[in-house]
Amino acid sequence: MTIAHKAYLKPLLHAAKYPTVAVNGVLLAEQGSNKVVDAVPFFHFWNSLTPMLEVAMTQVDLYSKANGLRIIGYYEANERVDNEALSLVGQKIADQILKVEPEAFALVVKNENISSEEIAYIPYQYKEGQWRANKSAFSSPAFALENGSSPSLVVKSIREGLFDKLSDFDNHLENVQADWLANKDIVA
Amino acid sequence: MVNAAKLLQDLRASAERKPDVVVRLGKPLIDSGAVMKLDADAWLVYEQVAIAALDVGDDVLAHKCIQALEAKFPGSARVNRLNGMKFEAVGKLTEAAAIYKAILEEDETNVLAAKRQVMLLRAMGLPTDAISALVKYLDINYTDFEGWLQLADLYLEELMYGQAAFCMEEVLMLQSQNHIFHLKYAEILYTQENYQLALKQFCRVIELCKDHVRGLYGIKLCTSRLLKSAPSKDATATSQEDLKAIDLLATERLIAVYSANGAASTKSISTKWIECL
Repeated sequence: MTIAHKAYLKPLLHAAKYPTVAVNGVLLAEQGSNKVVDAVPFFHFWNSLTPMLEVAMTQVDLYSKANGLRIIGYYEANERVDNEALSLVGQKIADQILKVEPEAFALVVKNENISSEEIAYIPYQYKEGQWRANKSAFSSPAFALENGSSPSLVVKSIREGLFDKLSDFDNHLENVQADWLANKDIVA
Repeated sequence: MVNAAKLLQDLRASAERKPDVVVRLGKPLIDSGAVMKLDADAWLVYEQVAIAALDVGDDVLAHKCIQALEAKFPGSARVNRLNGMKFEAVGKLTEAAAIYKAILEEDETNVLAAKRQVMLLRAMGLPTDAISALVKYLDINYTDFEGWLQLADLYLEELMYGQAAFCMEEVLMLQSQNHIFHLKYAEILYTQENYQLALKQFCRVIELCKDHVRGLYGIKLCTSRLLKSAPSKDATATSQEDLKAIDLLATERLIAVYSANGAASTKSISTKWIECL
């Protein structure tokens, strides 16, 4: 998997916009390639209830198909800074993606790295019947950043307050003008 | 300076949690001493800035505010609670717990300390203990709807939907006119696959808040599920004809809202979503 800058950036902006709560969303790859090109932010109100998740998943699926993309992964940032585990809800959503995409994976935000030059994610992959953290994933060929300077660029974007322009599905449901699917104002 | 004080007051009134804003506005007031011109409000600003400073990790500012408050109100439990929060902020959770425990031993009904204790147990990764502490608190303060909301959230984190639904029923008995609470209850019921009751609650959301998009989506989900399953024999259940009528109305309103305000891209996706439901 190669993570493009936009896909690296958006989940961290989502976490920076709502620093006191858990946030989540999905990652999109190009059809027929292993390049993760974008992320779609879902929720910051509550994430353990299913109705709006059903709506969000179906709409992202429709959006992906119309744009030559596919849902390849799930991301979340936990409320507690030191919590780097994939939540129960996160495992369920990742399971759902895995049914369609055998290479599905999840990224949990490593909160303490958001404002540093280190990679701010822990990848989770499905192995031997469960979701396991692969802490060395980014130092192996399995995962790579398309743009090696993504971490430092994110620090700069957060300092400039770019997260104010990011909308998630919760925002969209309060104001349908908010373009949670493409988030065109976030230019990577 | 007048504007900063006014903005801080507005933030206190709305109980919004914007620590970065509070620190940016409040720090100059406190550093320059101008805060004392606010008379009685000065101490509220000190407290507000102390908590915000802890949130953003400005320990020096937090310490300065708490010291000023301690000098003004020696032995106050409300101030001592801030010391507990200071320990929490630097990760000394055991020390924080000791402070809350001491306050509660002195006064079992101290609401602020009881609530901090619950959140502390949660932060320590002890959800079950947090739940029991909150249940104990609600035994005494059973009209505190915010407490019931918090308990609902704790149960939701543990995916205990039945208990969370019960808490939301308590919230709705105390606050029946807030559409957000009906919405949360509706979403819990839907998650429990109780589509009949969820539909009624989503409809209540729309009654209280016209064209509420999340509520309209909720109605569409419920009617779609109910129309696909066999008609219920329960006499209190919504009839098939009514379900179709509600479904049609929700579709109309959703399309109207997106036509009036939606961005072109999200509008086309939501239309597709309605078609394929």
